Amino acid sequence: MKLDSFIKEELNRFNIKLNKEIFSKEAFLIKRAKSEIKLSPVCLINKKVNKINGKSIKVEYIQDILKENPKILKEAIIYKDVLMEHELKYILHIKPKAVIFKNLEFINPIYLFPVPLFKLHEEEVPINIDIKLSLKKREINGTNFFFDIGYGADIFYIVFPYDSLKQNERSLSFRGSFEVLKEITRRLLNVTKPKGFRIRILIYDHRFHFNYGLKKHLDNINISRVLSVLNLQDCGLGNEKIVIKNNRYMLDNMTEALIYRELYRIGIEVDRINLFEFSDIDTVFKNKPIVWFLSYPVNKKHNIDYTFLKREYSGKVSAFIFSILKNVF
Amino acid sequence: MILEFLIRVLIAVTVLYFIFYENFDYKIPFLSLVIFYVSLFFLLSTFFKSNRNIRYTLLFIDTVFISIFVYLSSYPEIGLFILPLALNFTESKKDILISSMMAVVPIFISVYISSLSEIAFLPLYIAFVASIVGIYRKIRNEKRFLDKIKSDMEDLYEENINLRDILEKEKIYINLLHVSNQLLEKKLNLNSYLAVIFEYTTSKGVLFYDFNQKKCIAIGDVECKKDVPKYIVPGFNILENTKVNELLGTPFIIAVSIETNKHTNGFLLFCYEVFDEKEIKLIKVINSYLKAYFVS
Repeated sequence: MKLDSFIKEELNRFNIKLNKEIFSKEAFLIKRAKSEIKLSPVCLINKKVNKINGKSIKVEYIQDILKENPKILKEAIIYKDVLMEHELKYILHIKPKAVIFKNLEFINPIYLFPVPLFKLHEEEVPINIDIKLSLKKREINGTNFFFDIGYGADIFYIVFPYDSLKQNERSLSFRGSFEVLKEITRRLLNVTKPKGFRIRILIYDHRFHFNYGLKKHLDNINISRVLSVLNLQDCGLGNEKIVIKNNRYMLDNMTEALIYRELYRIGIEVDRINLFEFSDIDTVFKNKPIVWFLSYPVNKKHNIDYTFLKREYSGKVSAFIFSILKNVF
Repeated sequence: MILEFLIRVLIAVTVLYFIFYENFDYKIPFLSLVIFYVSLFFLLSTFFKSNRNIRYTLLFIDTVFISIFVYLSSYPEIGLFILPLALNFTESKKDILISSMMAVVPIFISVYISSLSEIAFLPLYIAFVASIVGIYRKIRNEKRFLDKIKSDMEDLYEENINLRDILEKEKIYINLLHVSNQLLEKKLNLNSYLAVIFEYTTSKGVLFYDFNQKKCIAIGDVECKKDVPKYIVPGFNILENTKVNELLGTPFIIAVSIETNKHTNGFLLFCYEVFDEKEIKLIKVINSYLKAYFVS
């Protein structure tokens, strides 16, 4: 069964009206990359670029160079021995012409990225590189589902990104967070409804690895009306940590202090972590606090079957998320 | 669903074959009865797809219709068709009881219709029930085995994520060791070193006041303020509600002085929104490496 129809079927049991939004996006598949060195493309790209040429710069730590001279890097091709997943956020910030790497240390494979990424099959990279690309146009379609609970002009977002490419309805990462979503929805509908604002639950396909569905949805919405965001991606698998640092600080200190007071009151200890997986959700919601309880580290979370997941994990997470929703916001 | 439908179609075809081969007088009513039976099954099974209890009703309808077919056509062999239908009910003891009770009706009618010439159907029926019990036992054992594996895997999963958690926490120190060694070997400058360790801490920003070169390095969400070093006492300090907090605008600051031979080389400041006690250990390690850097 397809994931979106599975989600629809499961949510229809709550007797809610699901709104639907359809969007599409243009992407380019790199069929071949011709150059003097042997390169193989890794992802699809956003823009049509036939030729890439520039100086190659060998980088050891990307975060430091970003501070010194981002303008030079913008015109260059970055070469790195090992590309880590969280370093993509710096690459997204610099936007160089291309990135070449030898080894990849990724938890989630990427699908679409604005900067072309190449894997190198040789030992060294020359100083000047010319790469000719042959592209093929692809259209990517996606659907957003959303529904509102409560009434009011201000919106509190609960976002549930899923990935139709890596996940299926039996995979651990999908089922764990989906159970949390279902439990929170059930409690919001039956126990306490929000007062003075509405909670919008947005479900979208995260396959683009770029929160594109979310961006499209927010085009029609006044962002100043958004109170705060709760991200349910990959939670409910055990080992929950609160993500506080990515491109920017995810929470403002007021919200963070309130959340910690609430967690202390219930008697749950949650560690704070910097995000070491790639996500650009904080660049989509500018300056809005994002609450994200991420299960980290869990390996092979997309491949393992959900039967091996204890129900207690999702129950515990949904309980404390609900109490935060009720008492903090 | 498709396979169950196939069994019903086979029953219908067999019944029709007997009727048309023997040239019965009441062909048309029989034909309509058979069509009614197949379509009734099809409609019920599609409309009540999600209801699991519908299968008992379906088995009851099958029993009734097969008995009628056997009685009207007087072919005892048709009664045997109840056996493959009853074979689906092997999940629980209740299932086996219900299916064997239902299956006995057409079998008895078959034996009665044949005026006891097909008496072999009775031991066949008993053998069928015995084999169904055998299948039930096999499935039960498999289920127990699966449950055991499942609970084992759940425990292993829990253990795995706990161990990964510990590993991930220690991994920061290994990475720090690697980066610090590069600093000591002068492969990395101080600016880059601070940028990399900023990634490992949960602080909002890192400040370094270098007294030797008289400059200030700021990384993250903080700005260099000239007056700050005046208010800092050498040593390891956790600052709260002081002038420094006011100047930098953060509620918690860890200030470390880097001293070599009673000479202060600089102040290293970590600014926090929410203070995390677990990071004191990390900062002490960073401090000792920076001392070594300034000695060499």
